[in-house]
Amino acid sequence: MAIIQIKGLQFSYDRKHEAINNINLNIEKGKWVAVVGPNGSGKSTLAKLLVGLLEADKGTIFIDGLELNQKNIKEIRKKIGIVFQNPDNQFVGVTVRHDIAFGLENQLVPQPEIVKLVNEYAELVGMKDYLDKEPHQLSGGEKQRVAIAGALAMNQEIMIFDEATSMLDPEGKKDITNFIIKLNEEFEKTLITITHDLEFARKADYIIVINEGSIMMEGIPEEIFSQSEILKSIDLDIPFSLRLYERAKKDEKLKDNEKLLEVLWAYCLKM
Amino acid sequence: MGILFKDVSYAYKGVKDDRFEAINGINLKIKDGEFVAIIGKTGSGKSTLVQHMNALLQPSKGTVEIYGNILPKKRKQKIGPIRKHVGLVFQFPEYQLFEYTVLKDIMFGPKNFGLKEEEAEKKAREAAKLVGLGDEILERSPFRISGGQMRRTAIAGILAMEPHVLVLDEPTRGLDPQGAKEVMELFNKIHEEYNKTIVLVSHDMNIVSKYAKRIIVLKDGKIVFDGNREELFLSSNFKDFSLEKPLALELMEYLSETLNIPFKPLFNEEDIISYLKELDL
Repeated sequence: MAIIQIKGLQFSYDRKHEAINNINLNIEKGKWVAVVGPNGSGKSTLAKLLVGLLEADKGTIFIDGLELNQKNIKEIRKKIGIVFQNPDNQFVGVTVRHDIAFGLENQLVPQPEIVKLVNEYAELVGMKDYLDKEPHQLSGGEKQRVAIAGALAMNQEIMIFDEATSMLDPEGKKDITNFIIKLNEEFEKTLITITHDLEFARKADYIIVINEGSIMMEGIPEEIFSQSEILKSIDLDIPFSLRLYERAKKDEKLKDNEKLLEVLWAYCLKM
Repeated sequence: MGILFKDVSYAYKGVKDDRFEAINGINLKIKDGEFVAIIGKTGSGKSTLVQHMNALLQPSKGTVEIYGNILPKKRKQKIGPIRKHVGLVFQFPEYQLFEYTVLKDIMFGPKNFGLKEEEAEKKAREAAKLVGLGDEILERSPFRISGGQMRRTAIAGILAMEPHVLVLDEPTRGLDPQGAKEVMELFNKIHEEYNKTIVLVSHDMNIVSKYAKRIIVLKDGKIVFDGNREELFLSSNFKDFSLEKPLALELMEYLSETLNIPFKPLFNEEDIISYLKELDL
């Protein structure tokens, strides 16, 4: 059974246009799904619906067999966590230590257990020496690591990253990207990454393209990339390697060079 | 005319007299009409360096000359005239918007330099047009427009002061790829059509290699490289700079390995395609 089941999901901010329009989606446990789409397509709205920050107008969401509703929300928040775009807006603790502990304290985990978990997960994300630092002493990437440690400490099975690297410098971006991949590969978390960045999305198991609140296209990265016309039509910036592949494919002199096209296509999928 | 740094060092002073030299012995000349990128890791001194260019900081040692004005070492001397030459666009410039309307926000700078209301409005309207903000936006609140429009408003505010030089500190940070491309195309247009000097501080090697004609690498407060992009990426010290390679260059390396063709430093699709055609594979 899929760990996330979404049926006929509908949501509107203003009761005029649908921000989410009849979305049906199943996500299997342990998979990494990338949700891509242009600005205002409904990507972040979907994420907020999944963690219960917004309430759907119609349709149902089941997380690990539990229906998302007022009654189950507490139970569901133990299973699903989210890391947002802006590292500054989600740092709630006075220090790194307090920030990682925040979720655990809310779940009424006993104090000695909290101390143990905080140390364990701070070490895991490489922030053990920073436990007493305050947010202004940390870089954006370090703050995002702390957010990840907090979510890991809660042992949530599903993690959502909503453009979690877009405000970071390249070093921070690389660092957090590697961490996200590790969460899926080593910790076997179910991942949903919401992004504009197709260079990043192509590393996922499955890609969902959203436009104007609906799923426009879905499939493994190979299938999605082979329909780049559709990606372009909704103003998504297609990866550099794919752009080059397409130009070569259309070029009179290069289009029959099978070896070259093969090498370029392999590069599109690999990197 | 231009910007000239002679043996410039700047030390931040901490408590108990400890000093941290953010930049150290910088010699640099930027001429009118150049497009220069300043790159380096976080903490390498990039921001400290460019903050001297519009007198936000003044050197602890050495001299900075901006369009003929030696940067005064005494705070009491007027720096307004110096600031007029160099406009600084900070990171996330949209955070600094504050006026009631977009137009008023853009007018704030020129008015501050002593222009009369009508004159400032004229400059503001020209600048708005240049960045692609339509008349219908100008009367709206700068807080009720899209993120991309907010950034354009902030940039127009700098352009309305008509500086010779635009210093851009991470101008694309936090924008989606489409937005980043639009903003960079805008600066490139300002550079090419209005002949403004551009000093770009960026981490994004794809952007740097695409637009900058000269690249300066800072490491631990010192200039460790100054030259064009081909020289930079072929430099034997490249590894020591801990910089990322542009996507186009990575692809070229991959192609040269797998297809056994000679490597050539190329930075955009057009050039790679024409190179592949030339090769007669």
